[in-house]
This record gives sequence, C-alpha cells and structure tokens, in this order.
Amino acid sequence: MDATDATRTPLVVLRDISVSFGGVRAVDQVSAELYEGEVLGIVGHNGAGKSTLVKVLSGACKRDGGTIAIRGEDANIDNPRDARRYGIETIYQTLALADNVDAAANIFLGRELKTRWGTLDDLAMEAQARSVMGRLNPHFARFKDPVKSLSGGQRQSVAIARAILFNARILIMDEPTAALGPQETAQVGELVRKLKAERIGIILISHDIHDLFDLADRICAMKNGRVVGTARVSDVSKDEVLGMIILGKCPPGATPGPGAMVLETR
Amino acid sequence: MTFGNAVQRLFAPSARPFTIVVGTIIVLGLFDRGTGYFFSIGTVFSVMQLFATLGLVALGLGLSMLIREFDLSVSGMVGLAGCIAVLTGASNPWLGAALGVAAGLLGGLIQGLIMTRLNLSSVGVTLGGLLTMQGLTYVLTDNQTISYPKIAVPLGLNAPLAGLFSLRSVVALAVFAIAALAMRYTRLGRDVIATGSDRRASRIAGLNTDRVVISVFAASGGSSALAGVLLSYSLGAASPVALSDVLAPAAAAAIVGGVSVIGGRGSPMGIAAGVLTLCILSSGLSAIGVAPYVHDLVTGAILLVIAILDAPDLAQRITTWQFDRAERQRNALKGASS
Repeated sequence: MDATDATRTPLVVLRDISVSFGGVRAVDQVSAELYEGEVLGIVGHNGAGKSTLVKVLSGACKRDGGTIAIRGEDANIDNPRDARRYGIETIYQTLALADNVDAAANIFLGRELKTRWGTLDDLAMEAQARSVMGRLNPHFARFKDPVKSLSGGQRQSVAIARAILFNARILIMDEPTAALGPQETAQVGELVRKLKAERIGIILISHDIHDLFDLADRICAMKNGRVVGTARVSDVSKDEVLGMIILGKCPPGATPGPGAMVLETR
Repeated sequence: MTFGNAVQRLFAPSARPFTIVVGTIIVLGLFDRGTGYFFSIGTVFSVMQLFATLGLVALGLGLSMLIREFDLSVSGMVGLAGCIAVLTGASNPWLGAALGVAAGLLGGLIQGLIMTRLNLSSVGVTLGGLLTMQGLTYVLTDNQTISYPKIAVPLGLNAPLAGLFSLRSVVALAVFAIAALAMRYTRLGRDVIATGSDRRASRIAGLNTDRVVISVFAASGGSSALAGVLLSYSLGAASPVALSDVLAPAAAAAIVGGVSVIGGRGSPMGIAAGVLTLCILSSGLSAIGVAPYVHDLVTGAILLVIAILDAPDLAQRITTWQFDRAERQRNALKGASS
C-alpha cells in the first residue's frame, strides 16, 4: 500500500465478510477496500466466492458476519434498494433482466419515471434509455421489444445501460463482457476507463487475466472463499496471479490475506 | 405461406384469446343456422350476467397467475364476501357491499403478508385461506341460506340496461377497464409483469417484489369479494354452499384468456376475452339445445388444445417431424426406383 492510499478514506471498506450456504463457507472473513477512481479486479476459480462477495455489497445476498463502510461510515445494506441508496450499481453475471418487458422498462425497473398524472412516462424513459445506449452500443435499436427476444450481447448491453444511467458512485461488474463480441468488449473497456476518470470506484470480476491487467489498478485473488492476496498490478506478474488463483501462493509483491498458503521454507 | 403467417399471427399469445372468442361466436352461429336461438339479445344479456360473476373471479385469479402464483382462495372469498354483505347490509346495501369488499382486500393482504414474510408459496397459503374462509362462511350463516330483505336491490342490479347489460355486468366491465388501464399505465402494472417474468431478477434489480405480491393478492381478494357481493345481492340471498365450484371455470377462463401459468404473460383484456368465451359457450350451447352436462366436455377440450399449443418447443417438433417424413418419403422413392 503506498502513502497516498493510507491518507485517503476508502470509498468502500469490506471487513471480515462471511457468507455460508448450509454449512459451506462461500465467503470466509474477506476484507477488501476500494478507492475513488480505482478499478479493483477480483479473480479466482469458479466457486472461489467472487460473485457472492460482490452480491453482499450489492444487497442481493445476506451476509452472516462482517461490516461494510462507505466513505468511512458504517452502511446498512440489507437489500438491493439499500445498496442503490449508497450509489452502488451492479451488472450481474446473470444480468437480472425481466424477460417479458422491453429494454427501456428493464433499465428503469424499480425506479420508473412518472408523468404529472402519476402514470408511467414511457416517452421520457425511452429517450433516456436511447441516450445512454448511444454511448454503449450505438447499433442497438430494439427498445420496444421484450428483452426475451434480444441476443446475448444486446441483453448484456441493457444490463450495463441500467447500471450506468443512474450516476453510480460505486460500480460492480460481474463478468460484464461474457456474452459480448470483441468490438463490444473493447467498448466496455473504454467505458471502464471513462467512468474511472469520473472518479467512480469499480469492482471488476473477470476470468480474463489479460483484460484485468489492462483495466485494473489492483487485483484481489480469492480461493475457497478466502483472500489469497491483494496486489497492485504493477507489482505482480500474470504468472504470479495465476499462482495465487490456482495454488493459493502469495507472491512477494502482494499483501497476503488469510487464504494464503503458508510456506514452510523460505 | 402468407396464410400460414396469418394463422400464426392470429394464434400468437397476445392475440389468441380474441381469436378464440370470435371463433366461438362463429362456430355457434353456424350451429344456429339463422334460427335466432343463439343470435339474440337474450343470449347477450345472459352471457353478460354470467360474465359479471365469473369475470371478476377470473380477473383476481389471473392477476395472481401473472406473478406466477395461484390464488386458490378466490372461491372462498366469493362466498364469504356475499354472506358478509347480506348480513351487514340489511338496512344499508352500500355498507354491506363496502364491508364485503373490505373483507376481500383484508383477506388478500393477510395472505400476501404471510407469503412474503415467511417466503411461502401461494398454493399452501391460499388453500389454507380457502378452507378458513369457507369455514368462516358456514359459522357466520349458521349453515343456512340467508335471504336479503331489500327486494329493490336485486331488481335494480339485474334490470336490463340498453337491453344487453345490467348494473351488475356494467360494474364488472368497469372493473376490467380499470384493471386494463392500471396494467398499461401504472408503475404497479409494469412491476407485476416484471415480477412474473423473473421474480429474483426483478428483486436484485431493485424492485420491491414483496410489495407487488401483496398488492396483487389484495386486488385478487377485492375483485373476488366484489363478485360475491354482486352475486348475493342479485340473488337476494347468501348461501354457504352456493359457490364452491367457481375456481375451475375461473382458472380455465384465465388460461383461455392467454395468462401463462409460468407468469409474466397475460392482460386483463385477454382475461375478459377468456371469460366471454366460457360464458358464450355455456349460454350458447344451452341456446342451441345442447344438454348442460356436455358443456364441460367442450370447455375441457378447448382448454386442452390451448395447453398443448403452449408447449415450449412445439413448432420445432412439428418442423422436425415434417422434415423426417419428407426424408423417409425420399428414401422410399429412391428404394423404389433402384
């Protein structure tokens, strides 16, 4: 950790977060920090607890223990609506779209715009949806079709549009490019850089280590629900990160977590 | 090909209920052969009278099906609200009606709260609700038919308006219109479809799905209670045993009306078309001289066909089957020529 980090108040502090699913500790005493304008990459195998950890922050999953602080103050996040109040937006791996309503309605799900008469303001919602989608996927035109009929990439664009429309301060992206082609993936990379420049804190989960080295400032590696180590991307190599993911071996450039394999000889 | 497309469009889920109701009228018209037994003002009036009761119950049940639940308590609500209205409305019919509908709203609200707070499925909770309400109705009426003293009320409710309607059926139509507008233009309506499409996704996207579930069950209870109040008032009597068999026709009407049992698809206007289909079949078959005990057979057959049409990969299977058959024929021809 360098000197500037120590003096700044982190945007998010997760402390000793634990989640159990019927005796299985999916997330075990995980602590992590996220700063303004920073991209924190979370890596790990399937089942390492990455998605569950971020779901605790986004309110989609209840934690059994631990605390969350936002800008240095304790935050009560018990459901997704609480998380939104703290400016936390999430792009879920499953996308979390309602299939039978259209793209604009999905983007405004749970915070629909209303006219003076209290009825749905479909025109305003569609106009805003169009403008945010223009930044993201300019070819997207099917705002009036149920999202059921959209392609995987189009559905992902809708989920991303929903997360960035409402001026998030903290953005969680769980495999945001899984269904996207190379061109759209590059656009999401651009978007991450732009949001970062707007001082938004981003948590990025990805299987693609190359992507992460490209976009993230720090990387947090998890194995079996625990943190193996956290490191600045400049301090570790890709092979060392793979070593953390696969073997649980924390390299010298990283701060070890509770999940780091204890080395018997040095 | 264009004919195929037209058929496909007529039977697309959103248009199907209206196609079916028009088809039913045409078929019964052919049986009528100009005798006028089916095509008469009397038939329309009796269809609308049936619609008033079945429609409001099917609307409540259909709303619960839209969020992928099943409100079994609707038929209990009809009986209970009818009895409450007759018992408390002896001096003032408005008071009785208000209390009957309030009981329905409250019953739905309580059931919705139990389901959302304890994370329960609607089938168990509303089955309990159904039996509780039926039991309560027996206790309130002392297991006897209670007659309603104000004779003007049934006469007023059933008096023909413009020959085709009565006050009772106009009230039912108005409720359908309100429901249709609410589903199309209000936030709750949109949230109902989203919750029915994928409750978990809607919840983690920030929708308060518990509130949607509770609202739908309150609406369902209120709508069926209104049906019970109108029915008891127009019969001038309330009986605890009269209406336990409304559940199956209401579910049939909702399904014919295009409400998907897996949630997220359907509309109040579709449900209205489904109810009309069932009422027209019932009145129309009687009018052209078909014995009442055959009616269920016809309704059942239509329902089965619709259920089969909803099979998820039916179109694909038919295509595969046609392809295989063509191939077999080609092979047979090849075998014959060589």
